[in-house]
Amino acid sequence: MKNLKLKSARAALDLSQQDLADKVGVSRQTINAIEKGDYNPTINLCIAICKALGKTLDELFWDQE
Amino acid sequence: MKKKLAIITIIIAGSILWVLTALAVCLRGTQTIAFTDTVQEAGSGVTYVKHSRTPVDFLPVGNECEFEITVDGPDEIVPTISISLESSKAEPIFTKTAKNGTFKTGRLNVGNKKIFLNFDYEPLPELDENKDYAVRYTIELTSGNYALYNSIMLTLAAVCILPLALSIAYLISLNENNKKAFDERQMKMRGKAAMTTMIVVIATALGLGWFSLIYNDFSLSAYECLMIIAFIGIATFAITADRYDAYMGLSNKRNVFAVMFSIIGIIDLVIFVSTLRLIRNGAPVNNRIDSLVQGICCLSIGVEVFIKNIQNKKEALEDEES
Repeated sequence: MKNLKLKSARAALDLSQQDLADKVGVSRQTINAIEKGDYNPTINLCIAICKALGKTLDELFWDQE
Repeated sequence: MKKKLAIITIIIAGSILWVLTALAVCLRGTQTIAFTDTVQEAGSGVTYVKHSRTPVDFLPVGNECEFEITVDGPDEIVPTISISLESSKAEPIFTKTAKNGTFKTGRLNVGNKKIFLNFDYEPLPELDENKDYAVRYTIELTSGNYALYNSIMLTLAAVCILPLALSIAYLISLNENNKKAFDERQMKMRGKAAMTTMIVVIATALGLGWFSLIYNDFSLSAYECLMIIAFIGIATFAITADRYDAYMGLSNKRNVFAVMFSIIGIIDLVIFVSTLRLIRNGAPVNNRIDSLVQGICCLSIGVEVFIKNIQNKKEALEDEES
């Protein structure tokens, strides 16, 4: 399932996928795969992304449905 | 600096090793081939016709050589084996009517020329048209001229193996110490690529083994089989790993890799086409199947890297636009 919240949060800070990947310490393709829903990140990676974007886990990764 | 030195050492030592091994193999002192020559196929109505067979030939091996030939066939068929130089139609330098068994030609003066072996069966006895008649030959060619040269070449090749192995080991140790070598997704994708490669390699090895059992004239040598398995494995891993972005190191040099692998693939395919022989007639098959497979594999890697390039640029563009 696509992660549009992550994409929106990233866009709000005017960060490209490469910028976010560099901040978090992963490859651009990994960020792309997470946003497309092709990859489920580990809790450590989720926390690192939240810290980079200044959001909580619920705001970025909780499934509201 | 050390990393660059290791990479340069690998390239130079690997290239020298490759060239010297190829030279030593081409000039080796002993060559052995085995093949079956069909004289008559049951029910086909086709029997042997003099000079219709493609002769067996050897590249120049120096000024002198000796053949040891083993003949194994029906008792009623007695082949006449003749050896000529430069052309199969030239005056033979050696002729023998050989019954079943092994014989040696003794030292022959071949003057560093191409050597041809012709196999004739006239006069043919009365043959039962409902039976197959075939003669199996094992031919061993020994040349003493290049034996010392081969030994030196192989020694030099062995000397190259040590720096090559040390450099590869050093690069691997660098990679293991690098904590930023991969992220968690890439680790998963590397495992996926390894699993896919393992399955494909096993299937290829079993397939070749099965084919060698059911096909009597399976002519691929051990070297060719191993090279086919190796290159299919390399191609599978490279394509799968790149498809799922399992490695970061390739990112900045994608075009170089795409062009390099494509060129290698095309060269291999040209080698295959240029050495292709369509007429068999029981003569040893020299078709470079390993070159064909290597060419297809390398070309596939080059094409895949090129396609992934386009996809990556498209993704980056979509990211910018959104």
